[in-house]
Amino acid sequence: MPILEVKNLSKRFAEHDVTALDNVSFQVNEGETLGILGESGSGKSTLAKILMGFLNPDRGDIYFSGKNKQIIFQDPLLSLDPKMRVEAILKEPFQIKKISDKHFLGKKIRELLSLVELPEAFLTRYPAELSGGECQRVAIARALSQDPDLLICDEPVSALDLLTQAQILNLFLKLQKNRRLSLIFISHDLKVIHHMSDQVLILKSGRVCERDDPYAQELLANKLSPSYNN
Amino acid sequence: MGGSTHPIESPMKQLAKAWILLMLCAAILAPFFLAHKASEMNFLNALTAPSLKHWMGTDSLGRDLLSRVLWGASVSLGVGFLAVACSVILGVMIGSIAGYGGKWWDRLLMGFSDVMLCFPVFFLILAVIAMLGPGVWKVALIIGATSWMSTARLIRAEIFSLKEREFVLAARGFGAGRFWILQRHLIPNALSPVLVNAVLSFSAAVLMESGLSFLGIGVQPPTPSWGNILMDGKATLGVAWWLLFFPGMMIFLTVLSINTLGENESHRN
Ligand SMILES: Nc1ncnc2c1ncn2[C@@H]1O[C@H](COP(=O)(O)OP(=O)(O)O)[C@@H](O)[C@H]1O
Ligand SMILES: [Mg+2]
Repeated sequence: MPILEVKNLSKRFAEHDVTALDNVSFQVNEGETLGILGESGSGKSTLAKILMGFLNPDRGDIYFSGKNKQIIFQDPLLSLDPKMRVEAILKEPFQIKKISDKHFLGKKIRELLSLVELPEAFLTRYPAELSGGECQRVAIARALSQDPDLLICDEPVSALDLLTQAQILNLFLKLQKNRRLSLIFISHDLKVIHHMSDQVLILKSGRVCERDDPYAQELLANKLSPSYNN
Repeated sequence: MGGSTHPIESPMKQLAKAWILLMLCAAILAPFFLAHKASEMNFLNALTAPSLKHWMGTDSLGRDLLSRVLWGASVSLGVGFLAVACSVILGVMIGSIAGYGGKWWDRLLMGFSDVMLCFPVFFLILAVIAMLGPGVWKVALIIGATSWMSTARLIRAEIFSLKEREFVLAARGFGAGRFWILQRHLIPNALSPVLVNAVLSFSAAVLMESGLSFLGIGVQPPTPSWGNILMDGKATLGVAWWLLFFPGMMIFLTVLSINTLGENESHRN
């Protein structure tokens, strides 16, 4: 059963004369992970933003049959408002929905912290006082507060060191198992994509690259190393 | 922001700080202690030079100039403060709507702001006072209402650079509306350059008030402000230098101190 179906999505940035997405179609099955692999500038982030509704596509259709989708960004520090403490950051999604019961919020926030394996002492810290991995855990906890059934992860470990990368990847896998979460996992790193994905979609200059395409074969055989500067 | 290393303050900046503190104390305390002394007339004592009894001398009505200058601090600084508060509030509101209200509002409000910038503000103020009449509150509000443009531009520019940031997008993903995002994320993060700018506009507002009062269309006697004490002194220019020197010094030192503090801040950012 697909939780998300995307058909013929296209997006052009006219002012820079860039075709970021060109007729992209794919689907994500419930409880599975779709890995999206592509080098820098291939349109991965544009796709993620369109899926979240932050950008409008020029053409194409998106069918989402789940309840809620959330996004995790590449830069953990930029994902959190620098002027807010962790506690306020985690409370915000509830306050937006006008849930303000103190007891309930307190309980919820402790639950979320333990899900992402952070100590309660972090509640009073500002993002600048956390490491990249810790910021990313806060961002994940905040996303989970909405009980999403689809999580779009736009290079969520690319800004982290190797050890932290492994920890965060395992956290995603654990969450996915326990919560029946579908994932779209975007990366330029073949190893990460292999580790995470049930299906793989390859993007090249905004187009989906089929399996039998020479670029795809080379890429999957790990002969090409996609550029790492994004 | 977040920086925990404070460079050692220059002596200039420390002096500036001390002067501002002193003036603030005067501004707050003077109305309680000096109101009577500052308006007490004594014609036998008119236009006496600075002495031990009257440190800054007396004016043409025999009033103690020191008391009037200190009371004037509360009027002049109060007008400056109110004017800046008014201009910051207007600027933040207009800049926010321009920056996050969509193209249409942006064009309309920035066009309006350009018109206001081209307008000779001083004559606008004169025109408004001619219609409404002078007065302490009116002067403050008019200065504020004609000086919000730089704040609006700053806020708008900050919002433009903030609004595609990940933490703002994340809030949108949770269903936050425009107003929520503005007041919870965009304005708090856009505010620091505005506050530095506000310090500088404070000194401009103090100068503007002095100028208007000096022309006799600002704060009206018998309420003393630095501007109208100066104006009083103009009549006796050749006889009583102290009537120009002391209020002039007050304006000069205060504006200089505020600018010194504001300058340092804007270098740091
Ligand atoms: N807001 C934008 N305006 C103009 N061009 C953009 C914008 N966002 C992305 N692009 C362009 O679209 C292409 C795809 O970018 P992006 O989706 O960020 O790629 P990726 O995430 O795969 O590195 C790039 O050429 C980029 O320069
Ligand atoms: Mg990207």
